[in-house]
This record gives sequence, C-alpha cells and structure tokens, in this order.
Amino acid sequence: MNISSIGEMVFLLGRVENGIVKPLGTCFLLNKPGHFATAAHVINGSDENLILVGRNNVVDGYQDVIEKNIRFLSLKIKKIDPLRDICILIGNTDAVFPMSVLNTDIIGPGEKVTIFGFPHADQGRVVLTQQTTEIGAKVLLKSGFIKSKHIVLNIQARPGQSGGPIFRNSDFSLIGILIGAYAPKVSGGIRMGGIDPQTLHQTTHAISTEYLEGMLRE
Amino acid sequence: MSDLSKLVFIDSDEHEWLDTLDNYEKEIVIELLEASSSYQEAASIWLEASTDTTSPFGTDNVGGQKKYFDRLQDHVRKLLCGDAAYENERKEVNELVKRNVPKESVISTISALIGAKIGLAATFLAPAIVIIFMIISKVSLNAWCEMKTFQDVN
Repeated sequence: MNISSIGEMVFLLGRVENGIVKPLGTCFLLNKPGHFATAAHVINGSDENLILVGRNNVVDGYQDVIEKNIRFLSLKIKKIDPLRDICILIGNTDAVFPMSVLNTDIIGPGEKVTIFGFPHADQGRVVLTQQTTEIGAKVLLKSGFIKSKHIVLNIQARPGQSGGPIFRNSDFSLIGILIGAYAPKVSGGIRMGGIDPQTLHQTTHAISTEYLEGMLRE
Repeated sequence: MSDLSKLVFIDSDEHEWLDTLDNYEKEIVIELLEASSSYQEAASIWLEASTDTTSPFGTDNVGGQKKYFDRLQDHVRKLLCGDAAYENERKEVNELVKRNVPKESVISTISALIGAKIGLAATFLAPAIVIIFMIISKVSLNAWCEMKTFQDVN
C-alpha cells in the first residue's frame, strides 16, 4: 500500500462553518458503495454541513501541503452507535474499497498493525499519515454500563486521528477504529497550549470493528 | 395533542416502541434500560456517551460538556404538549398518525423534525426519543405534559 492508494480510502472529515472547512477527524471508505466509517464522537451527533475532504496532492509520492486541489463530498449519518463510538456515514458515490472487515478477536498482543489518519488536524495540519505499531493489550472498556472490546496500541496518537482505520499487517484486514488516548481523568484536567499533557504517551485506544460488522448487516 | 394521544399512545405497549429501532440499537437500549436507575438515565447515556478513561481524538472534543438529554426532552415536550413554536410540526405529525402509519415512521419523522431544530441527526436522536415515548406510554401523554419537572419515571 502506498500513500496514493490509501488516499483513495482514508479521508479527512470536516464541517463547513462560516464558509471555512473545520477539520474534525478521520474517516475511511468501506467495502459497501458510498459507505464510510468514523468514530461517533468525531461528528458529535450532527451531520450538518458534514463533508469528506479529498486532496489530489500527491506528487512523486510526496503530499504537497500547499496544493489546494480539493474534492468535497457531502456525508450523512447512516448508523451511529455512541456507546461503541462508531458511526457509518453515507455519501452520493459508488466508490468502494474491497477489504475484509474482521475484529480484534483474531489478533493478540505483540502483533503488528498499521494505522492511517490525520494527526494534528486540530492545528490545521492535513497530512495523511501512516503509523505501524503493535498491539499492547486487549481490554474491555466501559461506556455507560456497556463494556466493549478495545485494543491498546503502543504508539502516540494526536487529535484528528480519531476515526482512522487499523489494519492487521499480516493480511490487511480491518480490525479496529482509533478513538483516542488513555486518560485517567477525561475532563477537568489542565491544558497547555491546547494540549492535554495526560494524553502525551504511547497508550492509544481503538474499538473493535466487531460492532461495525453488526451495523453494516442491517 | 388529542390526535397524538389517541392514535399514538393509547393502548400502546411501551415495548412496541423498541421494535422501531435497528437490532443493534435495540440491544443497546434494552441493556441500558436494564442497568440504569431510570429511563431518563438510559436516554442520557445514549446521547452523552463517552468511553471510560479515554480522551477522544476528534478535534471537537466536547467531552463531558454534552447536555443533550435535557434539550431533547424539552423539545419533545414542546412538540407533543402544544407549544406554539412547534405548531406546524405538530400538524405534520398529527396528519401522519391519522393515516395510521407504522410507529417507525412516527419516530423517524419526529426525530427529523426535532433534529432540524436542535442541529442533531435524526438517526442519533431516535433511540432517545423511543425511550421518552416509552415513558409517555407508561404515564399517558396528558400526565407527562402536566409534569412540572420530569422526575424519574420507572
């Protein structure tokens, strides 16, 4: 996989506010025409002015960060599961990305995975970035009263990467969606320059795509 | 109000509303209703969910600031209990229920009408509206509208 082909599958998700595109996070094309997935918190319950941002900016393998040749696609929420932090979006396109959607049951600690997303999108940086790491642990995390399967990735992630796909390296099957960083206390902590210091570590959380499978079946 | 009361809530088993949801939503809502201390709490959890010990990495991190349930309940009350701000929408819903459409259509229409007012997607609101309708089915629409505050009804 090179960055040009991944650029046809992984996109920045944004919202048009006052004529300007505000980056929200990452989304990716699924194996069903016009269907995309992201983390539910990225869109915060609203699909008003929600757009996919595609950029034709790869020159000889380099992303030209100045190039403004941008494509937009309006997206709407098709299914949402705020407890598992998964959202399926739909857009008016026949595009499809053939891949196997599996889950975190098939993978164990130490196995290599690859993540794609847009780190630092909160700062306006729009660079599709690949990270390769390994699974640190498999954990059950609670939302409300409901426990769900998650994996811990041994790598640092940053705002903008939520909603990014996680593939098992051995067969490039989709196993998870990045949702954020471990934080002992999610609200009320201090922030420095817009950064929460308690998220500056290599313990990143991702939800199993087991739950995405169930949503896609309906 | 009378059309809605007669056609939607009279003789309505509260659990029928659950059947308007997709299976994955229904499973979650049932689990939330069983574990929560009240129906209101279950609806709040759906709308304001966040994963424990996880700082979300979307760029618009509102975290614990979400207060969607009170806002949603207030708008459902305005729609169903006769508030002038929802007069046109209420007519639309009344026309719908007079045609005896399935409950799925009632929920999706009301979710879309309220969602358009408060800037949230109908798909996101529907399970919480179903829970509110389950509460109304228990106490009757008239009684629910008369409540000064929406205390827990379980």
